[in-house]
Amino acid sequence: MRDHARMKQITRTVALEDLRDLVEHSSGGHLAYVAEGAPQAVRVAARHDAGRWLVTLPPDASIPDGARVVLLIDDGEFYFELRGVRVRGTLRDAAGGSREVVPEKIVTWDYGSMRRRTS
Amino acid sequence: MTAGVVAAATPGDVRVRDALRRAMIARIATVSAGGWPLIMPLYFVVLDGRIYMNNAATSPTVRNIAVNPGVLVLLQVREGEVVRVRGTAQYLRDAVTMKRVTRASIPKYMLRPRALWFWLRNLTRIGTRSQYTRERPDTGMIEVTPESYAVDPA
Repeated sequence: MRDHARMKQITRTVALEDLRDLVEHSSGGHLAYVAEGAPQAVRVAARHDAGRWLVTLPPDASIPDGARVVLLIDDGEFYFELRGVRVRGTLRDAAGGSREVVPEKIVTWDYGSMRRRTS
Repeated sequence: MTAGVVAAATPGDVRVRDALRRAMIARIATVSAGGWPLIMPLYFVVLDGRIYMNNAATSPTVRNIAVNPGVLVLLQVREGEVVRVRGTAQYLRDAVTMKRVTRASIPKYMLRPRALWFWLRNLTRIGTRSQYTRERPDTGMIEVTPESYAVDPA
């Protein structure tokens, strides 16, 4: 039985579908990876297309196939404008010089849609 | 692996100073105990040369810096140009730091004209936001001490 007294009542989580305009027409995102034990991140062209997370790395970025990565696509400046998606997964080669983040876990948020949970 | 062509910079570099002063969002990259990367967008302020970001004690970023304090913070003011701050992070929960950071946040995120206008337009949502914050009382500050700066050109 859920402990409703302790369960958080307000959520900012949204369905990925609710962020379609952000992820399908994004101006870009950030791709984080690990190099020699240290965190690295690069700005990437990124979009969600037919269920696939496609990224184009900058010319001088070299991340091997199979690397663990996190793709962050977000926007907004003021509180209720903040929204985004974070895709944790593995980087794979894709056609046409792009790469693909094959997802293991996806987290979404939209502070503008902050609301009381219904269940 | 390489992270692209970047130019080393100093704290006095006008691009670094501009980013620290004007960027609204810091994206902090960390590494988990299991070697996974993570990157999160957070609000931030700069005090005495250090970068402070409010975050819950249970957040994955805070868990990561407990085991791997080396972080990378990305700041962007204009399209294309990214200031990269590499440093060491720790998580603080003392009342003095939290008070200082909260005070520094107010002019940046609440009192500038665009911010004031934003909050006026969203007055009816403040109650929901307040409850959201009350439900998450385990909050503190990530403090990043910069060790190096670099600029990705536009």
